Amino acid sequence: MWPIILMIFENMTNFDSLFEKYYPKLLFYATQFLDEAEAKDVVQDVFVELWKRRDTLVVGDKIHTYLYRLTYTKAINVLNHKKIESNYSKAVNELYNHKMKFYESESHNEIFQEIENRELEGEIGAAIDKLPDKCKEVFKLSYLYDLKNKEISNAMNISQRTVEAHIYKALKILRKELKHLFCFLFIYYF
Amino acid sequence: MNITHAILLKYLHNECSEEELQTVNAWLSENEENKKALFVGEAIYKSKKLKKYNDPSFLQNEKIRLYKRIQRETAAEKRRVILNNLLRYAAVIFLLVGIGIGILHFRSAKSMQTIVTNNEKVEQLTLSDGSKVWLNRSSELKYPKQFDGKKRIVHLKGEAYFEVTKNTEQAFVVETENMEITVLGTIFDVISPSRNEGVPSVTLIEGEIRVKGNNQEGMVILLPGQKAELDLAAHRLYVREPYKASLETVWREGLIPLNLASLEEIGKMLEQLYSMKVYVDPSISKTTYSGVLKTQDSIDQMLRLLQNSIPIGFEIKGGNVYIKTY
Repeated sequence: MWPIILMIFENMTNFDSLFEKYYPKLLFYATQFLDEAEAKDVVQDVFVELWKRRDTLVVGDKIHTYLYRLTYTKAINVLNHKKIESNYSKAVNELYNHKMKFYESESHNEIFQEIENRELEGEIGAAIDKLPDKCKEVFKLSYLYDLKNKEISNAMNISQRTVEAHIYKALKILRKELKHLFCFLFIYYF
Repeated sequence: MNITHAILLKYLHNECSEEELQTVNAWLSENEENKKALFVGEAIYKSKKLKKYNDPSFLQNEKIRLYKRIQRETAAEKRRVILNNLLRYAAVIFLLVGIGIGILHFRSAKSMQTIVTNNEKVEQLTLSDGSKVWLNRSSELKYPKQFDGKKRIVHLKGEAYFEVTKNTEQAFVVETENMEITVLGTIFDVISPSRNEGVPSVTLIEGEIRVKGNNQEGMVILLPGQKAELDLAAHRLYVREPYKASLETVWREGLIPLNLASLEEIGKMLEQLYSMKVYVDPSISKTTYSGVLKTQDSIDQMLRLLQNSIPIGFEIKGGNVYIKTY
């Protein structure tokens, strides 16, 4: 069983600040398995459980690990349920299995801490801004707005092939620009 | 085996065909490195969402959603408790009808006693379970002659100091206007001021107690020395840290533990104890002292005693006390 150290919720402020600190992180974590709406429900569940146990639990400095583990368990639960319900294809199931196994290891939680702490978004944004104009526009639509290649081709009135070429080019540049970042993460954790 | 960026990109956008996913799976199965590359890459790719998740108004909405849910679940719990109580009363009534004669005895046992203190004297009383209560000046305590049921319930207005006899089977509950304190044998001090006269608070001396606000301020468990204060305006229960605790219990006959108490705090305590105005020279008011004092009949004697361990001078003039440098 999970090692639990007794901690007392001193007051509501404490619960509040736990929420503010961990909600975004856990939501981000849960979206690795689920879509955003499902992930939100899962993280809400996590905090309801935390609330219910607030005077019997909880986990002093282990709170971080505890919350990630709880989120993982709940997310996997939903995922397994979905697998049965939506009758996923063999390939999708296999992919999810790979992913669950990968995230089962606790050390990978730290990847998320690192992604948070590094403020990747700023670094990635700055790198995107350095892309050539047309290429940047296409890539932003694809990356930041989640548009499909076909939608981009319609919106910008260019062929799908051109869209693909732009994105390919963008990724190539970004890989170079962000090399330090990937190196950092990989050396640090693997 | 190599995987094309086109496929990876499709993967990130959830656009892979079954065949393409099979390719991804095969590639993933090759080694751990590939899994790390894909899943960490995917996390980094999705990290663009973090900005939204950290946005204060997004968080606020989510918080409201959470608190509504918590409220609903708490309400459901309360309904269950009320239902349980109803069932218990139903059982009692049934029993009474059956026994008949028991009524009188039951009523006298259940009957509540009230003790009210005036402005001058602290009352000490022992309850039927052996628990001791020191009721401070201008306070009121209602308690049953005999405790029965699952809880030992008393009602308090004002301030009282409790030494509760341990009985884990029958929790001791102090109900006040704003708070409910649940105990399983311990020593603590409750302040439940009348309207607008101060902050309702509980200080724990020994053991463990649970303090609950009556208006959904939440619940805290206190550690010895800690004090729970109810902020009526903000609807919050705060926990204050140890050292002030000792002064809360000062009015009780006997010993006054001083733990890093400042002269200013000592002055305030003397004001309460002897109903005199106490002025402390600002140049020494922040000096702190630790030790134990025994309460004396007059403030004069008290200050003399203090002088033994603290280098202070004092003067009593026209009902006012002036504490100054030695």
